[in-house]
Amino acid sequence: MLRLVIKREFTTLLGSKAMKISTTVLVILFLAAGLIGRFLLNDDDGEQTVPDQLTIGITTEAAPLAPYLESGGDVTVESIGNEDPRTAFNAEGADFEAIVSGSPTSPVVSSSDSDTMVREMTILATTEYLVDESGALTPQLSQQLQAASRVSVVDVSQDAIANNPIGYAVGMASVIILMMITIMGVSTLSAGVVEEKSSRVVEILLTTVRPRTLLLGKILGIGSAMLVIFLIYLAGIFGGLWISGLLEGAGVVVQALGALGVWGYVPMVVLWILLGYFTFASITGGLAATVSRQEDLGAVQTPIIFMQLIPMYVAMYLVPYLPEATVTKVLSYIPIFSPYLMPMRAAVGDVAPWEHGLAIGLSLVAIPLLGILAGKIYERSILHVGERVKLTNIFGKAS
Amino acid sequence: MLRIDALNKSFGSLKALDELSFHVNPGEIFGFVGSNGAGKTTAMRIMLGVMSADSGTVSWNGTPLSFTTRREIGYMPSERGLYPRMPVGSQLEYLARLHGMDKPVAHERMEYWTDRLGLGWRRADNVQKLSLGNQQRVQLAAALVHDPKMLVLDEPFSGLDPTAVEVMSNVLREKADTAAPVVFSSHQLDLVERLCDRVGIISQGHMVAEGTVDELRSTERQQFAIAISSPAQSLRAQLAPLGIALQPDPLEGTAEAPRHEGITRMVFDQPEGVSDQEILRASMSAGSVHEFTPRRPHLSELFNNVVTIPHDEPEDKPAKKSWFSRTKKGTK
Repeated sequence: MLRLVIKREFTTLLGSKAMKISTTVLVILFLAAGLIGRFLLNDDDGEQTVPDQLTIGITTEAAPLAPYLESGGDVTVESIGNEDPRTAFNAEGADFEAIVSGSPTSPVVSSSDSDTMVREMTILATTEYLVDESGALTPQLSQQLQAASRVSVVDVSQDAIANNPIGYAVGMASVIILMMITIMGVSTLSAGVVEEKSSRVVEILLTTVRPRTLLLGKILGIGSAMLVIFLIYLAGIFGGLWISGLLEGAGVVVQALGALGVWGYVPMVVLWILLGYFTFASITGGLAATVSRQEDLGAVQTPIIFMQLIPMYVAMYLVPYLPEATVTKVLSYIPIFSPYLMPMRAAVGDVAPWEHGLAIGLSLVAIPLLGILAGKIYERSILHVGERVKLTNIFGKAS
Repeated sequence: MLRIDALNKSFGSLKALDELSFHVNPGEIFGFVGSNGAGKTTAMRIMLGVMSADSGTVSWNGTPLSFTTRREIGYMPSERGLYPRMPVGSQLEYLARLHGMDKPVAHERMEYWTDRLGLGWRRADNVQKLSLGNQQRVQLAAALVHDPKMLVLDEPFSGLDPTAVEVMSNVLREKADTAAPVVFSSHQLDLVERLCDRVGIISQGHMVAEGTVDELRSTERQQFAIAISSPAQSLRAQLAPLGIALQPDPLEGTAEAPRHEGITRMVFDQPEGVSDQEILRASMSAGSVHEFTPRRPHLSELFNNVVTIPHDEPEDKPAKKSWFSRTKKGTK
């Protein structure tokens, strides 16, 4: 019987004209975006074929620095005579990274990029020039100076966005996917529950199906239909990326996922999507049964959506900045938070296997409990028509 | 036999069912009548298990109705309900399969009932596209599609055209002929009188009269109606010696007793020990008798006599205080 209810929900949702049209339109949009992207990216290609060689303009006054600038390799120095650096830089056909003017001992760098690497190159060139003037520059010293100029900074902050940007992006993607599926599923579910109630078909159904079976069938049927729709979207998105040629760069992401253990991460996200959907769907099914008309549905849908936005924002803004904080860890074990926090934690940092186990275990305990609660609410309010049923009435006395 | 025994159900302070008991024999059509709010729908919902009773039992052949036996009941709820955006055919098939039918059997039964109820050409249409009358037919098909062993129908005739009423009546009779008990509620008392083997009249959650239509209509003393072409006084003078008190016919002017110029219509109770022939002879000496018939009360008259309509008493529950009224009180 459960199978029949699941099948009906699944086929009704996927067979509905509105769903077919909206899915087709979205997939077409994804593919069209890919196509547009391809043209735009191809246009860029013409400009991007410039060699990696840097061209630096230099005034006659600063010309003594030219050999030192060129010694770093990959640099061409062109003399601009006594021209004004601003005019020379912006002249038609000019392609300077920067213009070096002023005296060799106190040069001025003019560029459109205030962060240009020509600044460091000029400091090094001036240093070499000064040392050379005093007759102390040896090829060995020159090399040492060049090496010294490449001092690097090691980021020791806890900020995962800077430390692991791809992990963060993957975590964000998981959180957004999770939110899309649960919100879509939960809205469809609540609309379905209210439709059965407002059309009164539920009274016939309940003579042959137990209320809990009916609710479970709806949750499973709508959930699986949502998953199919989502896979179609995903296929559309990847299709669009492939058309645009962006997938060629996907190697980086796969590599980054490899670091997370791609074959461990993806199933984990899928598991959390399922657990998240079930958690929120159980709450929704019960609450939706307390209203009789579609127009009253907003009153129960709003808290459920907020219930998702809070863990989602925590996952987006707390976890990346404080991945190792106790508050993050503890929140990530709590059932309503864990579906959003766990994938993000796993993406930006390390999560011990026992932590996964604990969070999944707590969710697995919470879902049946929420299910029983929702089933009770559903059973006691599904035949009640009129005003929204108050929860105190449901638990206060048997109906 | 379907037996309803001492059902009680309250909604807050309102007692919807009060020790309600009745039974329906196999192969019998039982008419369930009562004014609005008498408790018919509540009783039917409890029979179907979609609502629980505070006390009392519903049993079928001696054993309380279980979830499994309830699935063999065909039910038509008072508030009609079908999936509005689902085609007639697949909806009926789905309902049949929920009752445990195999796919091919469910399909065959769906085709049979849609054809039988004149809906064959609308199978592919969504229910919401159909007229209300046709939706009603689909609703009946939904109650019948799984070959139920018992029918419980809440107001099955409301909103039907005469053809559909005829079809529905035939279907109910056919179903009863297969030894299935059929219970239906209705406000169309003439229909109940014509169709039902037994009738139960419910008032304020309690069964006030129950029996065959004949039993219910029979009165302690036989009443007669007479139409005579003479003034009332001369008839009265002739019948007074027999101990007969004449009353004006309450039905005068209706289709049953049309009003004619020069014809007097009266009713009276037959006194004990006086034969109808004696009365007829005495009447004929007063004038020419056009009609002389035993008159039995119709169900509608019985209904009016036994059913007490509850007065709308104000609820003693205090009105709900709003936050503002509370603060107002506080500032007084």
